[in-house]
Amino acid sequence: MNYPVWDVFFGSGLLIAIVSVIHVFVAHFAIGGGLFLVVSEKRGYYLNDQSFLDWVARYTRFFVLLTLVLGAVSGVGIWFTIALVHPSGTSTLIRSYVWAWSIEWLFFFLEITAALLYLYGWKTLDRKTHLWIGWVYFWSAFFSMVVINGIITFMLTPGAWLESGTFWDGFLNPTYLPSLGLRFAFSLVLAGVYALLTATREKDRELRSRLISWSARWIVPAFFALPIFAAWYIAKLPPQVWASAQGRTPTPTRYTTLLIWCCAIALAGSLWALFRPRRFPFSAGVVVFAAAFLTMWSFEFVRESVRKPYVICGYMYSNSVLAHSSPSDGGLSLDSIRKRGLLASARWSRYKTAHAASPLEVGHEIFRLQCQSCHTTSHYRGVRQLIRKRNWDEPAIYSRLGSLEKMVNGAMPPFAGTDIERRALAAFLASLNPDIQPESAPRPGQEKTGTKVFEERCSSCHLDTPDDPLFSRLKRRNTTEIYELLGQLDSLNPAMPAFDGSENERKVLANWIGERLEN
Amino acid sequence: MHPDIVVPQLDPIPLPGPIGLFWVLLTLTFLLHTLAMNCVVGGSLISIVARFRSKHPFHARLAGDLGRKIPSLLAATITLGVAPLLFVQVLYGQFFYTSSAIMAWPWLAVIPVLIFGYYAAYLVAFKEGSRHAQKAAIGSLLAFLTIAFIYTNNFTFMLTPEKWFPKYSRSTSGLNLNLDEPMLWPRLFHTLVAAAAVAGFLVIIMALANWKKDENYARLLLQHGAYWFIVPTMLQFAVGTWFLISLPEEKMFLYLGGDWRATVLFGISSLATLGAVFVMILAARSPLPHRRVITSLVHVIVVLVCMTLMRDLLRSAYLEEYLEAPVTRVQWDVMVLFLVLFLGALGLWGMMLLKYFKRAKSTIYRRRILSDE
Repeated sequence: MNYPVWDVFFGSGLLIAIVSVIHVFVAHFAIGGGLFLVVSEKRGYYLNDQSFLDWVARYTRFFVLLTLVLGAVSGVGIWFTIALVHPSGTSTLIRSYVWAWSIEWLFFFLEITAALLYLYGWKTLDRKTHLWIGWVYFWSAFFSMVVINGIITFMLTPGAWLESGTFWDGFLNPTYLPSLGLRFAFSLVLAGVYALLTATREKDRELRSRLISWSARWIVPAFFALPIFAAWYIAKLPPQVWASAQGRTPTPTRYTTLLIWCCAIALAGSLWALFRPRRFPFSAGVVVFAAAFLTMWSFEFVRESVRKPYVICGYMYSNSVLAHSSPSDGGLSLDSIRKRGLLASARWSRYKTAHAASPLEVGHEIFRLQCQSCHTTSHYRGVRQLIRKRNWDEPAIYSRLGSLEKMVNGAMPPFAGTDIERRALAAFLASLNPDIQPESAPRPGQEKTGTKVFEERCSSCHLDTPDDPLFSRLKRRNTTEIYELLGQLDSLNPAMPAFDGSENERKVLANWIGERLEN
Repeated sequence: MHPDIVVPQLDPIPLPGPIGLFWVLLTLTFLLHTLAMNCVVGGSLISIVARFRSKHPFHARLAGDLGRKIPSLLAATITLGVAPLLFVQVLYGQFFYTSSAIMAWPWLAVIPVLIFGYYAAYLVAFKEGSRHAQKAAIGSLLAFLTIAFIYTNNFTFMLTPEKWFPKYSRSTSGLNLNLDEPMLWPRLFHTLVAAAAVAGFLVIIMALANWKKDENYARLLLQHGAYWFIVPTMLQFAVGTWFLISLPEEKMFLYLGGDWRATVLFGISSLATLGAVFVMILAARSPLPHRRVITSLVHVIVVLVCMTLMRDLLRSAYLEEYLEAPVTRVQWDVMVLFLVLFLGALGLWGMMLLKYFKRAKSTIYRRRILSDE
C-alpha cells in the first residue's frame, strides 16, 4: 500500500520461497558444519588419524566455498527479495530490530573472517591456534542464529510486543527458545548430512566407511532431539495456528505430511549409514540429502503458511495492510482503508477512484494492490484455478469477498476497500473464468441441490475433492451420522461455525456428502 | 512537493536510536566497504592486465598474488557492504525500497551475478596458472562491473522521487533502469577510476609487505603500483569534472561556494589528491619509500573520507524536500549492548588476525629453518 507493487508473473511468494529455502539449507549447515569441523579436527588429533585429518582439511574448503559464497550471498538475497516484495514488512523488521541486525552483523563479520583463517590456517597454523579459530567460527555462527532467530520467531509469535512495542517483548517471544533448539538440532543434522554425502565419494574404502559412520553419528542423535523441540515449538504456538497444519488449511497440512515422511526417510537412511557404513552407497547419500532438503523446505513452508493471513502476526497482513489503527498508521490500517477506499489509500495505485477506468481495469488494480502478495492470476496460487475449483460466478465471488477472513480457515486477510471496489474486484476475478455459468436459483417450492448447499455453506473453507478433510474424515460415517455431526459442527472444531442452514438444507447436504463418499 | 510525486510515508515504528549515531555508522561502514570494493574491482583489473603480460615473470607473479587476494577482499566487501545497506534502510528506507522495487529485476540480479563473480574469483585463486584462470578473472570482473552499474542505477534513482511514478507507470514488472539520469555514467566512471587508483595503492602496500623478503620484486611492485595509482588519479580530475558538471546547476554549485561544507571538502580532497600523487612520485624514486608511501596513504584516506562526506551531502541535497523528521524512541539497552559487543568483536577480530599472522609467520620461519637444515 505504501510502496509500489512489483508484478512477478510467476508469483512473488514463490520467489521468496525459492531464495529462502536455498539460503536456510546452507545457513543451517554453516552452523552445524562449523561445530562438525572443529570436533572432527579434535577427534583426528585424539586418534592421531592423518587420513581423517586430511579429509577434514579438504572438507573445509568445500564448506567455505559453499557457506561463504552461496550461504552468505543468498542471505543478502533474502533481504533483497523481501524488501522488494514486502517493503513495509521489511521496514518494520529493520526499524524494530536494527540493533539486533547490527549485532548479527558483528557475528557475521567474525564468522566470515574466522572461516577464511580456518581454511588458510590448515597449512600454516599450529593445532591449538587453528582449533581456537575454529571455535571462534562456530560460536560466531551460533550467536548469529541466536540473534536472527528472535526476529524470525517474532514474525510468527510477536507475543507481548503487540501491546508494549518494546524490543525484548518481541525478541524473546513465546517460540524463541523452542525454535532456537529446533534450528540448532537441524543444523547438526545438516552437518552430518552434508558430510555423509561427501564421504560417500571418498575413494579409500576404509576411510570412507569411517567417515560415513562418523557423519551418521551426528545425524541420528540430532534427529531424536528434533521431535522434542518440535513438540515444545508446537506447544508455544497459538492453538489456531497449529490447527492450520492439521487439516484446517491445505498448504501447511500438505507440507507437514511431507515433512514427517522426509524426516522418516532421512532417519532411516542415517540409521543404515550408522550400522552398515561399508554398504552405504552414494545414491543413499543423495536420498538422505534430498530428504533433508525437503524437510527444511517443508518446515519453512509450514512456518510461512501458518502465519497467514499475516506477515507479522496480529500487526500487519500479508498484503501490508495494518491490522489495527493507530495515529501514525498513515491511513494504511484496515479500518482507514475501508473508510477511504483502497484506491485512494494506496499511494501507488494507478487509479485514484473506482470510476477512473472500467470495472475490470479497476478490479485488476485492486487485485494487484491487495491480493498479489500471495496470489497470481493463473500461476502460483492462481486465483483462476482456485475459483474454477469452486465454480464461483461473479455474485458468488462478490459474496465471498465479504467474508474473506473466514475463508480457508482464516488464512486470508479481510477485504480492505469500499463496496464499489469489492464489486470491481469480483468482476475482474469472474472475468478470469468467463465460461463459469451461474447455477439457476431454485424456483419456489423447488429444493436446493446438495452442490448448491455445499457451495453456500462449506466451500469457503472446503474443497469438493476426496482428500479434503470434510470427506477424508467422514469416510466411515453413514448419512445419519453425518446429519448428526452437521448439527454440532462448532463443538467438533472450535474454528468451525455452527451449521445455520435450514433443516431441509442439512438433510440435503448430509445425503450429498454420503453419496460423494460412496462414489 | 508536487502532487504527482509519490513518496512513501515514514514507517510508523519509531527510530530506535539517535539519527546522528546511525549516520556515523552508515558513513563509517560505507567508507570501509568502498575501500574493500575498490581493491576488488581495481585489483581484478590489474591482475587481468598483468596476466595478459604474464610472459614476464613479474607480471605472472603479480597476477597470482593479486588473484589469490580477491576472494578474501570480496568477502570483506560483502561483509562491510551489509552494514551500510542496513543503515541506509534505517535512514532512507522510504526512498531505497521504492527505487529498488521499481527496478526490481536488475536489482535482484545483483545476487546471482555476485555469486557467479565470487565463484569465478575463487576459481582464479585456486587454479592460477591454468588456462581457465584468465577467462574466469575476466568473467569475475565483468560481474563486478555489472554490479557497480546496477548499484549506481539504484542509488541515483533513489535520489529522484520525481522520476519514480512515471517509470513505474511504464513498467510495473520491475524492468526499469535509470539510464536517463545525466549523472549515471560519470558517477559510475568516477567510482571505477577510483577503484583502479586504490587498487594501485594495494599493490604498493604489497610492495612494502614484500620489501624484506624479496626487494627486487617489491621494487617492481612499487613502481607498477605507483603507475596504477597515479595515472587513474590524474584521470580522475577529468572524470570528476565530468561528474560535477553532470549535476543539476544548484547541486553543482554546492561544491563551488554554494555550501561551505561541500566547498571545503571539495577543496581539501582536490589538494589532498594532488599531495598524494606528488608524494607517491617521490616515493617511487626513493630507495627507502616506506615513510613517503605512508604519507601518501594518509592523503588518500583524507580524500576517501572527503568523498564519502561529499556523497552524503549530495544525497541530502537531493532528498532535502522529501525528508521528514522521524519519531525517535531510543532502545537504550540494546543500543549499548551493540556498542559493547562492537568493541568486543573488534578486539576478538584483531586478536584472531594477530594470532593468525604471528603463527603463520613463525611457521614459515620454522619451515625455512628446517629446509636450511
